[in-house]
Amino acid sequence: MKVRDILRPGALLLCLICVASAGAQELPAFGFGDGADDVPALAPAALPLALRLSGQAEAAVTVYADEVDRFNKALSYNAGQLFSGSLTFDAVSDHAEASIVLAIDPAADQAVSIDEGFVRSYFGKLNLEAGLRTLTWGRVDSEGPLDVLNPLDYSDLSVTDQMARKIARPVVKASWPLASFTRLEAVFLPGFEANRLALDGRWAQAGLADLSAQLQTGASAAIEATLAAMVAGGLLNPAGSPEQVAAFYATQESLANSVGTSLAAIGESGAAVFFPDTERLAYAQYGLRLTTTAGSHDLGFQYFYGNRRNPAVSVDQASLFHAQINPLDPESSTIAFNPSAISLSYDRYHQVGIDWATVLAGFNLRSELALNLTDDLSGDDPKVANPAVLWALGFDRSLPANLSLNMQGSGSVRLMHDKLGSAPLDAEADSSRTESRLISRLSRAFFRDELELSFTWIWGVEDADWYALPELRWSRADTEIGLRAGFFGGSRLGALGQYRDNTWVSAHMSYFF
Amino acid sequence: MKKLVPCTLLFLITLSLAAAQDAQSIIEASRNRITARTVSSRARMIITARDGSTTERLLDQYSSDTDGKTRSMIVFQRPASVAGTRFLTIETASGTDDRWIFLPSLARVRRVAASEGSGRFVGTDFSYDDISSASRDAGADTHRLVREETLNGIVCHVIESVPKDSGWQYSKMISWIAKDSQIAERIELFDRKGVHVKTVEILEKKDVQGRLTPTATRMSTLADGTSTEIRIEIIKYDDPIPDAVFTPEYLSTGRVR
Repeated sequence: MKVRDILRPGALLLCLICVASAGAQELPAFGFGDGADDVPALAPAALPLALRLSGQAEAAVTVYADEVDRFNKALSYNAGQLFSGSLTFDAVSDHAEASIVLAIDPAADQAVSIDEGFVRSYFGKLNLEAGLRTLTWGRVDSEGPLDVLNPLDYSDLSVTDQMARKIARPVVKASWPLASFTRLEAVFLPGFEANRLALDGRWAQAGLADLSAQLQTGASAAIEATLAAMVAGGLLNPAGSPEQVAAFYATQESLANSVGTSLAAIGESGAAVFFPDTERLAYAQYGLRLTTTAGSHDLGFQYFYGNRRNPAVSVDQASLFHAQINPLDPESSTIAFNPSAISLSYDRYHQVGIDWATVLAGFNLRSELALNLTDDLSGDDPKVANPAVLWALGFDRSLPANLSLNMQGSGSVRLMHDKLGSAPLDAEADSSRTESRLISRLSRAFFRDELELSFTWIWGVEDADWYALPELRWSRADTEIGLRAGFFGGSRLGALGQYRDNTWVSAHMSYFF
Repeated sequence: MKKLVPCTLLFLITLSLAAAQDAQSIIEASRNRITARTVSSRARMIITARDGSTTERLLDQYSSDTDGKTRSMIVFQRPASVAGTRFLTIETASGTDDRWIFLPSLARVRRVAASEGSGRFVGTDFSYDDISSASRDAGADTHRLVREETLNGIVCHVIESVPKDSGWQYSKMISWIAKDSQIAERIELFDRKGVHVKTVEILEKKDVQGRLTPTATRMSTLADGTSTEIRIEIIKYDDPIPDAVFTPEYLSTGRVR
C-alpha cells in the first residue's frame, strides 16, 4: 500500500472529524416543549444543525486451525493488520439529516471506504431518503424471506453478524405514516447486486472455486476425445511411421494451443467473467411495504419485484468445447471453448409476503411467509428457477437460571418440483424440493449482563450439515472483548459441510464511541 | 357464645378489611402522590459492581397518562454502545403492557415478552418490570399495615404488599411510606421463594413544580453486592409530549412525525 493511499483518505477523515467536533452538540435536545404552555406541541422543539461523530475501533485476529496445526505452519502464520473500524458522521436538522458511515480496514483493497451514505428529508409526514443504504424488512432475526433489499456477503463465513453481512445498496425510499401504528414504505433500487460469494480461497463455494482449473481439466478431456476421434477416423496414427507419430503430437500441440487461447479470457477472473453486469436499470427493483399493529400483534404486508440473489447456473457439458477437425490438414484442427455453454443469470421474480410478531405465553414469536413467483410459471424452464414458497418462524424466550433461548427455522418449498428434469440441463435438476435450516442460540449472562456465554448451532436439514459457534463476550461501558470459534460438520456436499476444514477461532477487542 | 363467635368474627373481618383498606389507601396515596399528565426526565444511572467500580448510563424517559392508560418511552443517550436504544411500553385495555425495544445494532423493532420482565434492564439492578412498576395499580396487590417505624428520622407506615398475580417477579414487597409526604422511602423486594433480594431507597428529594420529587434513588441487589443509582438531572411535569412519541415510528427513527 502506497503512502498516498493512506494520506488521501486520512486527510479527508481529519477534515470530517474537525468539522464534526466544531459543530457537535454534546447530547440531543431534551423534551418536546417548554413546559409553560398547555397547548401540546405538534412537533418537537426545533432542532438546530447538530453534527455527531460516532464509531467503533476494533482489534481482531482470526486463526484457522489448518494454518497452525503444525509448528512450522504456525511460524508462517500471518496475523494480518489486526485493526479495523468505522466512523459515522451524522448531520441532523429540523427538516433533514445526512449520514456517512466509513469503513476502515487496512487489509482491504481500499483502506477507507463508504459503507453507507444517505440523505433523508422530511416533508410534512412524508419521509424521503436516498443514497447508499442498508435497510431491513421483515421480522425474523436473520435471513428472513422478506428481507430482500440488500444482498449478503457470504465471502467469509467467520463473519456471523447479520448486519455486518449486509451490503449497502443505492436506494430511494419514501415512507408515510398512515396512522399512529401504521406505515407505508416504497422503495426503488436502480440496480442490483447479488449475494457476494467467494470465488477462490478457503471460502469459495464448491462448483465456483477454481473454475479455470476445472475448465482446463475439461479442455484436456476434449483434446483426448478429439485425438481419439481422429485416430478412429484414420486421420492420425500414433503408432505408425515416425512421420505419423510426429503428426499426431503436432496435432495434439495444435489442439492444446487453440483451446488455451480460447480459455485465456477466463484467466484469473475465474467464474467472475460469466457474471452479467447488473448495475443497470434492466435489473432495477422496487417494492411496497405496509406495517401496522392490531392489538398485541405486529403485522407487515409487502410486495417486491426484483432479482433472485443467487445465480441460476446452467452448463451444457457437451457444448463446452467445440472441435473443428480438418481432415485434409489434421495439424490445423482446433478446439475452442464455447462460453455460451455456461449460462448464469439472476431470475426476476414477484414476491408477495406477510409477516407477524406477537408475544404468546411468554414466547416472543416472529414469522414470515412469502410467495416468490418467477417467470417459470409452468415449472419446466431449465434456465429459470421454479416459483417457491419461503417461510421463517422464530421465537426467543427467557428460561430459568438467567438463560435465554432463541430459535428460528426457515426454508423454502419449490413449487412444481415434479416438472424438473422434463427439460435437459435444468439448473435445478437433482436438487431437493425443500431447503430448510434451523438456528438455535442458547445464552447466559453473568455479572449483570457484563459477561455473556452463548452457543449457536445452525443445522442444514436437507444437507445434513451444521455450523457451531461458541462465543464468550465481556462488555463494560463502551468496551467489549470477545472470543469466538466456528466449527463445521456434516456432509461435505452441503452448503455448510463443504467448509469442514475451515475451523476458526477469533478474538477481538472493541471500543464504541 | 355461638352468637358471639360470628359477631367476633365479623368484627375481626371488619377490622382486617379496614386495615387492608387503610393500607391500600396509603399505597394508593403514595403511588398517586404526584398527579401529572406527563413526566419528562433525563436521568443518570450509576451502576456499581461488587468491587466498587462503576459504569454509567444516561437516558431520557417520557411518560404520559392518557385515559387511565400509561405510555412510556425510554431513550438511551450514553454510553455509545447503547446510544439510540429505545424502549416503548404501552398499557393495554386489559391492564397488561405491550412492550417494544429498538436496538440500533439490529436496526429493527422487536417486542419484549412479559416473561422477560424480571430480566435485568440493560444490565442494571432494575428489571423491566421495576422500570414499569411506577404505574403499578395498587389493586394488583393485597396490602397489610404491619407497623409504624422511624426510618432515617422519618416516621413511616410499614406496609406489606403481596401481588395477587403469582407470576409477578416478587412474592412480597415491604414499603416504608413516610406519613407526612407519602413518599416510599424504602422498599424491600422478596423473590418467589420469599428471600429478600433487592432494596429500593430514596437518597434525595427536591421540590419540582410544587411536587416533592425523589431525585436520587438506589436499587441494591443483596446477593450480588451491586447497586444502581438513578439520579435525575432534568424532570418536568406536564411538559407537552406528542402522541407520536409513543409509536413504533418514533421507536425506530427517534423522530416525531
